[in-house]
Amino acid sequence: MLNKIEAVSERLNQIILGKQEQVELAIICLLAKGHLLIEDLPGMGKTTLAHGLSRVFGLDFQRIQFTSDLLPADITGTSIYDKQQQSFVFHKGPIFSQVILADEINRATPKTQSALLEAMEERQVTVEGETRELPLPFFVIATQNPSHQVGTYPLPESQLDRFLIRLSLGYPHPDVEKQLLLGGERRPVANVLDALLQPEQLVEVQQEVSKVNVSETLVNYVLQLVLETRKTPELNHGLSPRAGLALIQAGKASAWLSNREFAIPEDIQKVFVAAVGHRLQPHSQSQLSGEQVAEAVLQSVAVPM
Amino acid sequence: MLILPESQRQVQSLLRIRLAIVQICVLLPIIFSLPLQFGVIIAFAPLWTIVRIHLKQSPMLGRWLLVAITVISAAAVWFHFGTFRGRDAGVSLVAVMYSLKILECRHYRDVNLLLTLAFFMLAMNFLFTQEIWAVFYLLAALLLITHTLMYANANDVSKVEVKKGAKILLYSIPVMMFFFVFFPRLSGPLWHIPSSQSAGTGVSDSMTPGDIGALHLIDEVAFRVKFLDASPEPGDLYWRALVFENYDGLSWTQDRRRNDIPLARQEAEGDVLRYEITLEATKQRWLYGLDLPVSTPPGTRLKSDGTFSAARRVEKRIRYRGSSVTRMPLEVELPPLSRTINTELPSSGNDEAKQWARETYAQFNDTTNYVNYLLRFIYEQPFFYTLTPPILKEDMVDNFWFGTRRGFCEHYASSFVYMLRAVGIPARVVVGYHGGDYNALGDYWIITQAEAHAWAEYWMEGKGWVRVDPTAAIAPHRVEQQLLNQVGLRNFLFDDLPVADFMAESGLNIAQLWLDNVNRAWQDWVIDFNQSKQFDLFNQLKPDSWGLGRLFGISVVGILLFLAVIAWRMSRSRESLDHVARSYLILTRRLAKKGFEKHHYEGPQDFVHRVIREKPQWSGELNPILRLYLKLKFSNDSAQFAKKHKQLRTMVKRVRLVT
Repeated sequence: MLNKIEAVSERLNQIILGKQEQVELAIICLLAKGHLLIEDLPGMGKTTLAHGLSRVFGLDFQRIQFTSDLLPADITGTSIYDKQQQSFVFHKGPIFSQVILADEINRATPKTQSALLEAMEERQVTVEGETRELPLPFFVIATQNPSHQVGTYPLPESQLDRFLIRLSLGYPHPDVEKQLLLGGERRPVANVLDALLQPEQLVEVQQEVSKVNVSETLVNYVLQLVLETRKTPELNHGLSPRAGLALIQAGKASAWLSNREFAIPEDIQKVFVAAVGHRLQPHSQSQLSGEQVAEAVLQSVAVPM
Repeated sequence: MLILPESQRQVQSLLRIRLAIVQICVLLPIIFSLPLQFGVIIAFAPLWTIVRIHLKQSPMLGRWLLVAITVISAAAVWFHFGTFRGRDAGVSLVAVMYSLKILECRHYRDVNLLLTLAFFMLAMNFLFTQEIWAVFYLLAALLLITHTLMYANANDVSKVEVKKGAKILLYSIPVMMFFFVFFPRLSGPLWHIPSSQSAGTGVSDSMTPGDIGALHLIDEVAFRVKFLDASPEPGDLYWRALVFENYDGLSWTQDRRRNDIPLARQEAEGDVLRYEITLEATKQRWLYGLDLPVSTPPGTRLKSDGTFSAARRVEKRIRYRGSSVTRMPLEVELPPLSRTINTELPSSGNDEAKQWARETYAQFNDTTNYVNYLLRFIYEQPFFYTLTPPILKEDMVDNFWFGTRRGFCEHYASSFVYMLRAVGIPARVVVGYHGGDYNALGDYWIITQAEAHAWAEYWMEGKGWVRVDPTAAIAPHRVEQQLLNQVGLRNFLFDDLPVADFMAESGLNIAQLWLDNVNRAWQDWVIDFNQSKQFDLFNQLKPDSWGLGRLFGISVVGILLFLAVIAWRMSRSRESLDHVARSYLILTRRLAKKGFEKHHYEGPQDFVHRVIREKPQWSGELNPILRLYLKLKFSNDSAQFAKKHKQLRTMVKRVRLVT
């Protein structure tokens, strides 16, 4: 099964050039049953990555373009009166698919954002008093523009916390960019990628990942990291217990990808900044970003022997 | 544990203000001890910081501006003192540089530097004062520094309590006392700090009463005396320092020829009083003894005029023992040279006085009667005792005796002796102190600079030198009231009240005496705790058969052991490692010896892979160890754990790291 995931990774690297690390983190996120937030400037390949992920994993894919006039019902679906049946029939919204690409999520109003975010946490949607299960696997890839851009509603901390990993792709290396310019646009390529995996196989892998061993020593390490963020003067508040769980989950996925049945500190370190950076809020005087504080925390906590 | 690497930590405004406050507290006593302009320069940087932050502006200055300020400040020190050496110049330079440091306090390490230097700067205050009161201030400042240090290094600022800082200081006190007492001391200070201030008024090596327009009574302690057996009558408390036998018409000085006259030992009449004097630094050689000394401390010489001096200048507080007899004839057989010296007068000047003396003496033709007449003359005529006499230029005795009639002891002693010499009676001026305050709590006498005094001695056939105090002859009502009431000094001189016992003293006085008592203990046990006192203490502690070297050896070993125990305790307080970890620890130590130091944040796999990247030839040795270690440590697979653990241990033991 690992071979297949490696093949997936290889294929994705063919369309997202020079971003192996981000691709790996995206896969880790998927394997750990988390949701992915990709934050970057327009045109950096966010959507391409999201497309590619859903295609190669063979998942059924819906894209929602978030705009400021998008309403919750546009996501969850709504009941419409059917003349023939003489009753209201529920029309499923785009959220009832395995992969949702919530494009430019911070362009929508908070009300709409929270409709999506409820679905992410509960993996179910309640419309008109009726609770409906979402399909499995269920994976949200949200992209957002950096929040200082015009016309954005920044996601509040409580909602950022729901994303397992936040990535930013960043500019490609000039060599890679040249290759990219020579090779033409990548998004059409992403749209025609073959599925390398069946959805059931992904669920199977996700179950294997959750069986990866986590020793007490490692839990202690995660705990130390979490406690350290709570002591840091640079931060408004430290990490939540959910963040600790997320770290372990992502660490397990990383260990599985390295073909180990137990997680080691390096697994936690690999995912730490991506899994924690967006959950840390340095206070206003601090010139550091959440990621920089996360790096510093990582440097200051000793790895248990 | 620091949360952020030091290079990334920002110095927050709040911390900066605290630093400025620490600086001000530490430098405040120094500011008052230095010339005004340096006080201003020193206070500038911290105050600037506080004000700018208060105005929500950055207190930082440009690099070149800082360099300029630094250079100008250093130049100011140089131009004011002409040197960077010595106490005042050195301290000025260091204090100015230290206060400017806050202006370039950008990084976190600067904060720690500033605070650790604060401890040093604080100790610098002892160069200016060694009073016990300073210690209380410094202790408070110490607490502030410690607290700020904790604040600056705290992960959670809200948890930093003053109580904790105080606790740390409290814990350190026994350690400090142990080191203070037992740490081997040098016989003298490591370096000499030349003091810039000369002694205030008191006793000096010459006396020119005509020059003085205002005498300032200084309330500094000159010396303290503890009588070992009985105390003398308060009226006999004349402390002899110098005898002035040479008069040039203006000044009284010691006569060089006095050294040629050998001391004639006399039989003591009355009880010998033994006493111990603790003399403050005088920067002079002469020592004080109760009039008249019969035995002097070792290393000093009793001269034929009844004074004695030390071999070297008294540069620091010393203590010596002496013994005296209050009524003892000196030079009953007057050596001819002594007679010559003590009857000489300048040939010209003060003609009126000379004339008056001769005429008056002719009435009596008897030394005792003549002296009594002079004293009565002072009592009956309008002679005033004042500290602000008119300046007398020429014919000082004439002007004083017949004109101004206002003066203090020097005028009276000087004129009195002149009147005696004018008729051929050998007479001289003695200077020293008179009186003293009895401290009933500590059973000792305090003699202050304000009690400096000059009196006269004349020689009588068969009696030797006789002390006479012409100042005491002034009628009490002509003693400046202000002097008696407000200053309350020289009470001994003008009325014969017995020393009030201490129950009758006012509460304020008791407090004063008590404070002086504390001060004395502080000086005895802390300031004066030098090598010889340490030796004394050790001698008391050690068994007789031991040498001092051995005791020193033991104390050094003891201190080292003490440090070792602390180090051991500290190392133990780290979490204990299990066996697997210990094997890994051994491996990391072996690799560290090869130049591969493991970072504390580095996981085992990253570390070993880093080593292998540089030394690929070791991968065969290291990779199996890494795999086994990771498995033992991080997988919950407990099958054959003991066996695998043993295997890991032997692998680590046998690992060959060939370079």
